[in-house]
Amino acid sequence: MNHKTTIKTTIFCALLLNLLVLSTPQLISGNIASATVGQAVFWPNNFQDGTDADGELELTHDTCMYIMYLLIGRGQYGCYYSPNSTITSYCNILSALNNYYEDNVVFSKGHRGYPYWNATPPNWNHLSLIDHDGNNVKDHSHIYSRTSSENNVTFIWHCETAEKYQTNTTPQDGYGYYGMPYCWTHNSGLVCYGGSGTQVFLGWVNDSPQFLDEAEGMYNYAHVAYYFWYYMCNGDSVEDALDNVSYTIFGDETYLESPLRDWLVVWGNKNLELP
Amino acid sequence: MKKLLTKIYVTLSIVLFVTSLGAFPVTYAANPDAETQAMAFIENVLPVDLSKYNVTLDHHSVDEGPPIAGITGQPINRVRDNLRYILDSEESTLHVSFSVQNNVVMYCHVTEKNGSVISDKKYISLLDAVTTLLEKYQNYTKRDSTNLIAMLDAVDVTQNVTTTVGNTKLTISQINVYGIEQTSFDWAYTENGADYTSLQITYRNGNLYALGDDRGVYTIGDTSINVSKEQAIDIAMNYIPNYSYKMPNDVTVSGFNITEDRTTAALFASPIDSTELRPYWSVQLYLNHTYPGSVKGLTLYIWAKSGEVFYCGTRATGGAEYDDSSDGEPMTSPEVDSSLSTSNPLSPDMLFVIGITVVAIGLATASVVILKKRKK
Repeated sequence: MNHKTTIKTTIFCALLLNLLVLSTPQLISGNIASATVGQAVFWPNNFQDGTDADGELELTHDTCMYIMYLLIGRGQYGCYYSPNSTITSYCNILSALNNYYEDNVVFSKGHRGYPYWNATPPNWNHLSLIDHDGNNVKDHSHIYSRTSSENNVTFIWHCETAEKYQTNTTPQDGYGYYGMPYCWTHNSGLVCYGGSGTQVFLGWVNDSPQFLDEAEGMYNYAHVAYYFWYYMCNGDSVEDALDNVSYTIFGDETYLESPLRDWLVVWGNKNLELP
Repeated sequence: MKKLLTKIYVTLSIVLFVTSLGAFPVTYAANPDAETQAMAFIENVLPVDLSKYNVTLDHHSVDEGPPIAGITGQPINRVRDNLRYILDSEESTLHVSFSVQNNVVMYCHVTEKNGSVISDKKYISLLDAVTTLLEKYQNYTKRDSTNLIAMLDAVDVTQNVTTTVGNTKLTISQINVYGIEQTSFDWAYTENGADYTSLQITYRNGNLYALGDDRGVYTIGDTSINVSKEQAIDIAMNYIPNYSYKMPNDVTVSGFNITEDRTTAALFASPIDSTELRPYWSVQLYLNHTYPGSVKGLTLYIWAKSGEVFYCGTRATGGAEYDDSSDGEPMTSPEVDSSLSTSNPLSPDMLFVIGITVVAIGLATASVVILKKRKK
């Protein structure tokens, strides 16, 4: 091999190594030790036959991928991506976020369960996120014990996740703390559509819409989720992002005029931007 | 051998280049005209004392439409520049955001980040503020707004109002929640009960909060309405027996029972696969029980002119259902031991991409070794 070929080979190898360095963290969706912001996207949709239609599964897959790309696209941090999330993946990822990162951003899309509906007596305080295998990711145990006040921006797109919370009351019963807003944030002082603090939690009152559900015109609720994160990742506050979503999707200038008000509820500081 | 190695390098380079794209945010060329339009809006419309503020462009990105197709399966094609300016003074900081489409400011949003807005003048009332704004906006857009201003004279802007003059419907909404006092003005072009393009202006706690105007973005198409509300519902009911949707494992769901007395229909003119607005009926049907896929209802869109159904889809929810009167098993499976494995969770997707990386590294290493051997 002559000198020219050696140089070419060296350049090729250097190029490949460069690309490997750039691509590998993206491929494995982050977990970069030096990052101070942890991000995670969960979608435990396919938990049992009959729960989600084909189109919903496909759309959820695509939308959550795009949301992950938006979060990664911020350029500084990786993002845990957990399709078909199980209890184990929720617990492992939440533990990693809690242990290794200073600020956390979480999005989860799926179904809500009542883990103690069949207990004696039945308990309707506690909620769970139904995982891919149909098990309950419980508010007080799996979630509360692996989250903290460092969960800054949390959006749980499952039914009733904004419920079971009252400002200045710590929701607790014999099983432990209950309700998604408290268990994700460890904060009993979140004000509805508030303007201060370091945390914000978004969830739904009553039924959450599936991504396939039409919103208005050409848009469905997958677009609502996508554009919320699109605007957040472009530097909007929660309030600005929701206003932008309202105008883009529903043609209403503000969230307060849109169908989302009182349904997609904001607990905590609406002025927060992504950390 | 050299050819083989070249092929390997090229293939690897392409694979790795493509996968490395995620390392950088994808950005498109920003339209400098959008910045010109936004700045002109700030200078000529925004009711703030610009002599007190430093204005800097903080962000400019281009939204080429969502990567998710619209409900009809067609892509939502449009190019919208999103800009954010920071107006900074000793007394206050404002974020002024814009969406610019077709070189027209479609949406402007003012957020007070610190302090209070330094207004360009003292307005004696909300009516004074909005009238003055409309006059300035008219000069900026060169679009005659005298009829919109005149409509304000006939109403009490502190009340909830809906009034129509000719084809212009003015709706004033008062919202007082979460400590926010908001008044919204909406002038919509209306015809035969359908609202088309509109100018919206929102004041919050006395200051301009948002201005949205899609009149320069959308055109109004054929506004004929040949199908009544009742006919639209009939069309929907007749369509349903032939509608089905798929579940996993190739199971098809059809044969829906509708709770007819809950059916609703409303007229819309949102853009569908086009920037031309045409009226359509949105018919909401409620099912008599939850169908597979957590489906509780169906929605149909029907062109109001032709009666053609151009969309039928499901409405479903994200909550597992429980029958607390039953002694049976819950819908969820029995609990599993929640103790954790110590290894990191690796999804099939993640394993796939890690696999590609490992293969790539292997091939690269093998290539270098072969080259070295040949050298010897």
